[in-house]
Amino acid sequence: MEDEQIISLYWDRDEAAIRETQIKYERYLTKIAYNILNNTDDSRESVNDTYLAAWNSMPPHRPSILSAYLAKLTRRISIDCFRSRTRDKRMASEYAISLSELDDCVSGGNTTEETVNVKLLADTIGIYLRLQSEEARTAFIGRYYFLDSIKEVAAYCGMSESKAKSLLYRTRTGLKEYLEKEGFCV
Amino acid sequence: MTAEKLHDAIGLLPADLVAAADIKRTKKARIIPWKRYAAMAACFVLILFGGLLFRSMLLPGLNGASKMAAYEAAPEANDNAAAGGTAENGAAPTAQDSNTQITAGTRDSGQSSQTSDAVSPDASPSQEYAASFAVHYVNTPDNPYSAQCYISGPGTTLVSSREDLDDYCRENQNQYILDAFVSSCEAYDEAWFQTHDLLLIALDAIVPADGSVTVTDITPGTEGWEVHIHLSQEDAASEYTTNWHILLETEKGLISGAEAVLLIFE
Repeated sequence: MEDEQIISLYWDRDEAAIRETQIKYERYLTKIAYNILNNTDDSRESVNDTYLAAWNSMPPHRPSILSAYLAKLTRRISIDCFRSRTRDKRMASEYAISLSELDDCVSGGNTTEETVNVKLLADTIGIYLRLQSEEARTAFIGRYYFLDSIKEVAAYCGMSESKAKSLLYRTRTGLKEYLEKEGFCV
Repeated sequence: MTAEKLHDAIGLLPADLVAAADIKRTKKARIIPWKRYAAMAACFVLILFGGLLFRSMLLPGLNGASKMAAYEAAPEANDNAAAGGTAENGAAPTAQDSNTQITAGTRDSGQSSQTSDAVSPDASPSQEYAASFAVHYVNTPDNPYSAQCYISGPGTTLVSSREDLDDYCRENQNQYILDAFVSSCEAYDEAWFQTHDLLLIALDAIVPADGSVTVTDITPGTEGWEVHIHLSQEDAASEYTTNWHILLETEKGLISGAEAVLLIFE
């Protein structure tokens, strides 16, 4: 079923919308959740929460790209779940590894401006990524949005793992410089 | 700012950026496995080479440049019959001819050779010239895969170098099956041609397959050298004929390239 039809089902409050979403996107969303949580049961639960969040948000939302919208929901839910775990239960996941990588872009210390406008930051990062090559953009979003492993990123970008690592490193370094230039306290 | 805050911001990236990257994620990059294709190409070349080699061994004459197996002579050619046969002019051989006939035994490769040791005690003075020549006989049938119809009578070619011999093989590979001929010529290298020449006599389609070819005499004539060749056949009614090459090994320079070589059939 096409995305437009699934969104229409949500707007019609037809429960078939969830069933159709599950048929089309369950595997896709489970992959994102597992990248963050590294646990099958938690991933399944996170995906189920995604369906509920989608039902509750459509309407009023009518996303232009349903897959990206659902991925965003799953990502946020899974990260929240990850953060709610105690330190002992935070198993090594791609999310945890990527956090350590993104430390290259930030100082890590508490700043006085705690209320960083996340939306503004997201827009700035978006502008920065549009200035990069398609290869770098795909690698960055694949690694830090979808939380794919370096190996997976290298595979679908058509490069070696070492090249993927160096590309991501250069992109992170450039992002830090760009954010500083745009006035963000990193 | 913390890494987690950065992560949260990444989570709010525009949908079009995310969707474009997602397309790349799901559509795996096409990495050309050059090693795999190189191995496949190498296997293909080996198979092709093996096939051509096998084909040339099974079907000699298709590739004159390749080293082919020796041609198996017809069983009849292995007989050492000294029986007379009709000569080219149809005349029955005389008893004297039979006595002077030096019948060469044939090898399995369809070749036969004659040395000066087989000279008859009744040899005429001209036989001293024959003693200077070592003679080999090689069956060289027509190439059945030749698209061209060759019609030619007996001919002679004086070869003075290995290069000339190779040229001869190359030029005639379409007309004849030269398996046995090539094998016979293996020993004729450049060192050999320093002290020898090779007179090639091609007998086209006039020799019975079950007959024998014999050089009975070689004499200097008024117009050049005369090579007397005796043909015999067991079955005069045999209609099957084949081609032969006579290889006359001569001393270097004995036969000048300008001199004519006449073939006298008996």
